[in-house]
Amino acid sequence: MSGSKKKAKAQSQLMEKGGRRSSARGSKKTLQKRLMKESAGIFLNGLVFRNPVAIGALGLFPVVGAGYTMQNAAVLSLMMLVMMLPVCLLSGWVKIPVWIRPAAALALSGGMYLPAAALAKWLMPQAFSALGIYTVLMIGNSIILSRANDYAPSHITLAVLMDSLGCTAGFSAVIFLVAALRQIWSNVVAETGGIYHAGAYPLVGFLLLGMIAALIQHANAKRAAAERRAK
Amino acid sequence: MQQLMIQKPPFLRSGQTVSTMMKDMLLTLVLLLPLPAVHYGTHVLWVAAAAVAACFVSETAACMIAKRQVDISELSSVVTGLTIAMLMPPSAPLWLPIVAGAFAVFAVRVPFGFTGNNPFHPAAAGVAFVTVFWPQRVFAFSETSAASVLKEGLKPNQIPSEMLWGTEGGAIGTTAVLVIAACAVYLIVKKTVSWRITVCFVAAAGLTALLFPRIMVTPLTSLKYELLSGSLLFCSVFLITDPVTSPRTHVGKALYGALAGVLIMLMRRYGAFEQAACFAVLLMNAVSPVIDSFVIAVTARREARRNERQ
Repeated sequence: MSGSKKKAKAQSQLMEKGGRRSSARGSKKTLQKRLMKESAGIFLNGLVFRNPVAIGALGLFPVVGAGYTMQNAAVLSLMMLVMMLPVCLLSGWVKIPVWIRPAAALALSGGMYLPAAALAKWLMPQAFSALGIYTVLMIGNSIILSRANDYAPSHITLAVLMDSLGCTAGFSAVIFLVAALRQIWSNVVAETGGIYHAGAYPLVGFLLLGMIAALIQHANAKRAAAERRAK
Repeated sequence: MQQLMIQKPPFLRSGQTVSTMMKDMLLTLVLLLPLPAVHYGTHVLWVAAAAVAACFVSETAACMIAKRQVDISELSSVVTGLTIAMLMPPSAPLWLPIVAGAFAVFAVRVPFGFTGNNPFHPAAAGVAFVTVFWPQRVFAFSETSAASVLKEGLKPNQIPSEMLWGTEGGAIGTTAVLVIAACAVYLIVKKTVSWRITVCFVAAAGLTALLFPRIMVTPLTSLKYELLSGSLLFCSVFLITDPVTSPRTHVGKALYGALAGVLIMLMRRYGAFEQAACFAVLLMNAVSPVIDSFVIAVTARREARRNERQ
């Protein structure tokens, strides 16, 4: 195995459960530095480079179906934060057999919906009631379930925390951007004699998501090319 | 000393190239312009120019962004622009075809790899886009169109023979039925469009109109009104026959045309808009590869059975 591959494997093992013993070499300070660097990388991956919505195509329904006003985006982002973080942390801490893990993640998500909904209803009552079924559907959000099911059980708490925060930030960034552009589109169409609430059409959501995904892919390709050149 | 030429297949060529096909399409689309220009005034020509310019400029800009060579001789963006113009109302504000053209190029042509790779008809997508968001502008005809009267379940004021000359209300290039028919003959003879698609499309739409008339008239009258109103005939010649988005197999083409004919009639009856051709074309574009796969699979199975018997 070449040196760079070994290094990459050791880096990935660092955040995995039980991987610290085999991959952690050097002083405590060096280890802390590496942990910080890895954590920042995980957060940035969730936020931009491996954005769960734009690149992973997860959790599309809130963005496409309900992400057409900034108020909706705010409610859904808040619910995502309140639900995802505890669900993923609990999935990482509690040892659950693989066969029951998806059901357990769903049950945890359902349990966390209650405080999330209560908080959203208290902070933004009008926007919460306007969202209707979309808030309840957050229980089955594929970002929460996939990260709680696949990522959390095999990674250390710090990694799970950073991944949850990164994914929430990534989801929020996309939904806010899409909602802002859809609101602008609604105004433009209405002012030019077109239909009202043009931005609420799922077609607009899909088109914008496609463009955002293409931009991120382009940035990723450029980044990969720069890394290759640096090597 | 003789040189050995190494070239890619196919080695037998029909003489048809993308450029010649586009020239044929362009010629026929231009032929549709004089009649509405005389009837509605020179604004029609401005609408056509705006649509063509929007597509051309968008294509050039996209080529520059994608760092591709700009190929002016290819003409497909001009054809897209003119097709869009033909589906606009004669009094359309100039920004309407510009928006449709820009959408057609930036959202349908460019992301899939320019000419020959788009899964959806760019002009149909562009017109569908503006129809969804500005329906009152797209259907703002100076005279009440037969299609809108039929949509309300009433009998149009015009008799069918009056609807042949391009004087009734409707989109720029869709009302001159006789010119469209002449263009269809020219394009079919030149093998620019597949007769299978056009014939099966019109036959299926006509059969549906005969069997299930929308208005209380004889089946034959229903057939005449349905075929002569709206953009059905224009669609049968210029939209549904697009070689890039239609199936490759002969049987697939016939099936595709027939299904599109039935679909457009269903959309006319149950859809929200009086002209549903663009939506029907886009939906059929989506199933076009499936039709091809289905036909190829059935043919392969049949051949395998025949070989087993032998």
